Amino acid sequence: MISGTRTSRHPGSDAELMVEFGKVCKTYESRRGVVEALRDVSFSVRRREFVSILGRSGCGKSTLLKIAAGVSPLTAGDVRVEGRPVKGPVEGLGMVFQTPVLLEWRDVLNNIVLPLEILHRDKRRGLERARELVNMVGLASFEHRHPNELSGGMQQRVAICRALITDPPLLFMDEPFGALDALTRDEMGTELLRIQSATDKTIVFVTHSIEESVLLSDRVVVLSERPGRVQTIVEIELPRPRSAETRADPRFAEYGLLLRQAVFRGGEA
Amino acid sequence: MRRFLRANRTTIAPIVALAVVFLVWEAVAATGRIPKYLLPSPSSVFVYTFGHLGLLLPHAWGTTQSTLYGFFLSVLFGIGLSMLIVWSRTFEDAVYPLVVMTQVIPKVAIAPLLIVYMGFGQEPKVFLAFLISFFPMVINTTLGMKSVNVELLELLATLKATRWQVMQKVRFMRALPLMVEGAKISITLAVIGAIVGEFASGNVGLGYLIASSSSSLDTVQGFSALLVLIVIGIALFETIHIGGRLLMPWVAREQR
Repeated sequence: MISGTRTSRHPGSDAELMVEFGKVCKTYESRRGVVEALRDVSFSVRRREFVSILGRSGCGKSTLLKIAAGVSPLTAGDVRVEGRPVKGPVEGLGMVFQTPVLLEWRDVLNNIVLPLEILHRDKRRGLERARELVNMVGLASFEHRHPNELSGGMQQRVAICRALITDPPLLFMDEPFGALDALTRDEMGTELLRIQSATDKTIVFVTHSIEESVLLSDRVVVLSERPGRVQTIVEIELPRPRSAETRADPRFAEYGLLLRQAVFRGGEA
Repeated sequence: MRRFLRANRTTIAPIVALAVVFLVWEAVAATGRIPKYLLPSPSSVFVYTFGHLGLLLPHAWGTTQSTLYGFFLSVLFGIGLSMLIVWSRTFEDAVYPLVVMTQVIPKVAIAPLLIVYMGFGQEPKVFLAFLISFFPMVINTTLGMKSVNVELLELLATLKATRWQVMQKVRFMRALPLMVEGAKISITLAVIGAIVGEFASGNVGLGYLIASSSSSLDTVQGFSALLVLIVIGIALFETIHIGGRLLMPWVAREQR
């Protein structure tokens, strides 16, 4: 039997913890007054774990990711990445957003090596590595195309390659497939499973798709509606390696139902 | 035939429109009801132009030079100023009113002053061309440099990109298409600036030629100078347009 467990682990110095949220609160001023986006969010992400943050639009899940990346300040609480408190932008992080945000004047390979250029790393070796990544995501024949010659799904693959080029241990993905059509979205989910098993990254994945979170995650953190609080954390104990067929597993549907209840229960609270 | 017309619509339509204008004009002039010294026929203007290239071309060259010098100054100054504006919010707040002020001053009004300051040579013409044409460069370049996706900036922040790297690798390139659009406006304005300068003083340039032909009621010469001016303006504009396409293939692809 599956059960949702409410956890608030926050041990300070565990080497296996990649990201730790400790009673994170966030309020900001908008034109309509003070908005409380997040309240006392506490959970952590272990090394090589795939954790999804699931919640409805506007529940603060993207904000949570930005706080962890150090590009958005928090109001109270603390966040640690690899044991170090986050003060300012966190280095050695791969980021993928809802839109690919590629540079339209660069071709695929040159988009992917942008982070290496910024870091003044060797570009020739970077291009080799970029070619490997492009092969991995099945875009080998598109190396020299420009973004506007690619479909939305292809562009997002390029964005994923760009996030992987520095070989970061930690990957933040903010609704990376949210702007894609349903079929491409399915395909990309399977793709990400493959990438994950090939690279053993720690991935924090923000989504509002229950299916996606079940298929991809080791654990799903459900945030309530604004102000976002941890509603529940669900361990997804489906066997790995997973694939598109994992959806046929009867437990897949059970997890889906459980998460659905959690999400909508949050709406009433 | 129909298919041919449809396929070449973009070329044929303007030619037909132009031909209609000239034909009507020619017909009006042929009636003889308007004296020739007021409205010469287009054919007589063409004939005069090709018969007096020796007179027209040196003036045309003078105007082109002043225009181009002013335009290049605009581009350099426009991009430089935009970078500073994007770099510092304080600088932007301080300098924007000044920039707008230079634009609301009628250039014709300060042309005589500039001659007092700079003499009768080419300098005041170049300066007027510059003064009138840098504004669209500043506006467009600033807009382009500022329109960078927030998430891209966040990504660059986690890579500890310096402001200079962001400027050089992202903002400048992002602004490039808008810079070219600004340059198109800028070059046509620069022509006007040079002409205004030539009206005010000196004895070189199509502006001078137009002014002197109207004072001697030589309208054919005046129209002829205008014709050459139009050709120069269009040639400069198209050069930038085509140059921009070659420089930025990714933009051409978007528009196709």
